[in-house]
Amino acid sequence: MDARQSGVIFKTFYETDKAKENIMTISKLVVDYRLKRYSIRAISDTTLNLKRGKITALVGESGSGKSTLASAILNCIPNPGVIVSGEIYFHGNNGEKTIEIRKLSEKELNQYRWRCVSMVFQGAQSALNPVMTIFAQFYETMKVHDKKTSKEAAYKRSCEVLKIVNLDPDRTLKMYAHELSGGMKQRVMIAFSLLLNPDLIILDEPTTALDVITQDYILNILKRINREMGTSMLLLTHDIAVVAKFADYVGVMYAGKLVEYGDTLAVFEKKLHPYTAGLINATPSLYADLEGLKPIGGNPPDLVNLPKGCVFHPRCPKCMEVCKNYMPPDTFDSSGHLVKCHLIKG
Amino acid sequence: MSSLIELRNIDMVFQRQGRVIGTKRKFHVLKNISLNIEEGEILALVGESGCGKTTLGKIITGLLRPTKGDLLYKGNSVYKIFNTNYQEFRKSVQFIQQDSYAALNPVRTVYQSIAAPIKAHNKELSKEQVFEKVEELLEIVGLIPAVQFIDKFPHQMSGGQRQRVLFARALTMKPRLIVADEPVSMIDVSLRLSILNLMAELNKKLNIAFVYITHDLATARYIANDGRIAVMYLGEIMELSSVSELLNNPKHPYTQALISAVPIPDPRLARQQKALPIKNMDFMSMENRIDGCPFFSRCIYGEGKCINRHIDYVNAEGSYVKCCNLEKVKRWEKQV
Repeated sequence: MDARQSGVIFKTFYETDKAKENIMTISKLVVDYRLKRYSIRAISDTTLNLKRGKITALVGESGSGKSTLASAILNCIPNPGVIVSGEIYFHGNNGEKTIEIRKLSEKELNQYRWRCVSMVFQGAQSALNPVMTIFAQFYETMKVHDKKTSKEAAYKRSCEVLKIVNLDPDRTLKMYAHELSGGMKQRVMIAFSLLLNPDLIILDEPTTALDVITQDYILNILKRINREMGTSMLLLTHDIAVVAKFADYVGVMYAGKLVEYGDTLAVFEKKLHPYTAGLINATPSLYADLEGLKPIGGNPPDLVNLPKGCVFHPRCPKCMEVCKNYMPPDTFDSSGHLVKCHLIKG
Repeated sequence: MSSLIELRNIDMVFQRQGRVIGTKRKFHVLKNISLNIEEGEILALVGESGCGKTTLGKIITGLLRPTKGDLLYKGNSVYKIFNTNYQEFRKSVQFIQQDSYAALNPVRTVYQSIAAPIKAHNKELSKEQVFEKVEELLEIVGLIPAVQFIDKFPHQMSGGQRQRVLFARALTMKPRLIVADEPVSMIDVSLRLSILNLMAELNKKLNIAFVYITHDLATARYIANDGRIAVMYLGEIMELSSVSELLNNPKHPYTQALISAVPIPDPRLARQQKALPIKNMDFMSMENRIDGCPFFSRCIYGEGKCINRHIDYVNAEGSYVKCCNLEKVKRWEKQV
């Protein structure tokens, strides 16, 4: 598992410890979608560290920017999206080789994608080619990344990855997409992402279209992959119950900004940011009290006309004067827990 | 007094062209469904994707006709020809779709979409009277001030706002029952409760019964707290009971597995959850159904007697359960 590098790039403030601890560092990222008459800022000034070997979840609703972030990591944001500023560092080889994604050439990006970082897309069930067998698609992907892959080697690897997701390889590899159920297609997509043994897998709403029982099954498979193979994972979802069960760390995004980040237990317990608290209080569960539940007032953010000051202030029950005019600073506590709110003083 | 809606032995088979020309493939989507819906009650219809709940919802609304079975509205069969009740039935039972964007005409304003049914059924009303009615409905569903929304097109509103327009449209007919098909699954999490609260309000204030179709047990519990839940699996109702009884004492093995699988939004409790009481992941196909229990292949209590015969409903502690092996099923213990 190595990362191709275009020269070893160490930023001066990077300690080797940090590079060992984190598999990826996203630094002050800004992404815009440039339309004819105006721009939409999908991600504004976001800094995030993904811990090596752990499952990090990103929670956010529509307009939060999490899908854009996933595309940014693979440097494949669809047109007219563009990374305006910021850097994305991948710390390969256990932290010994750091590369900056935007500085990679086309050839190097090809090596980076799928080998270092792979992705399971949202609505993965439509991502399979309908006129090719599963094996044909696996083989094609492997050949694209390494022209010398033989059919036998490809078949062997395909069987390996399918076994990891509990699918019968001999049966599944001969099938076409339409012959598989939703849950099976999703497992095929997860197997697909494992093909080149990546260090980091991004999963964009991996279980949204699936029923609860299949969801539980698939999330358990992912957890097993993480624990047994040490693969780091970035899980994008709007379902905080899934986060509670499976994520080690969670980041909360709103209107393109990271408003809270920390250890899952800490974030759920402290609920420092009013949006985090609002989300948790707006999610009904099977047994908890129904009385405390309340939706978050107001409307989803309008990314074309973001409010002045804190982006969340129009919907915030704890909004103060300062929130309407000034962006809140990033506050970190000793454990690395981040909150972006005027209420919390550093 | 008869129930508002009564379903008797409903069967629904869809036919499609087979692989060889001349053959037909039959999908037995609903099997022997019998259900009563009373005035003003909230019934949650819960099940995985593909279990037939939307099909059942459409049959209740009169949008689909079942291949077998009867539907009674206020005691009278809806399918008998020359039924003078039919017009009243179609107005009284309304359907709210899951995808609010697809359900609204994109080139009609909110006013036009809501005024159209009012005008069609009340030709004697003047323009001002129709406008007043539309304003009134928009305010009932929480789109206040109404004038702000009246001239908007669907793409100019958020998902939650569009869903409210669907409710307003359904209310134009003064329905006795609204069938809501996954009304909140395409809405942001932070806004879901406000739509659910709207439904609860309509139920209490206007005494409108609801059939709430969902795959999410947690929201079903929230809205149907005093009502009933029917759990469906592969086109059959596996368990029917009150919400509290179902959540605290689920009797059918499928219900037990379903409840165990629902993730809990509390990390400490969530990580204590044990493995699911379910066998493999293979669904039985709806195409070549075998007689007997559809859950047999995944049931940990499955035995020979579960297949190749008709399974009856058993009345167990106030719940209706479709299981022939209930004595062996362990009493469910709350995991948290």
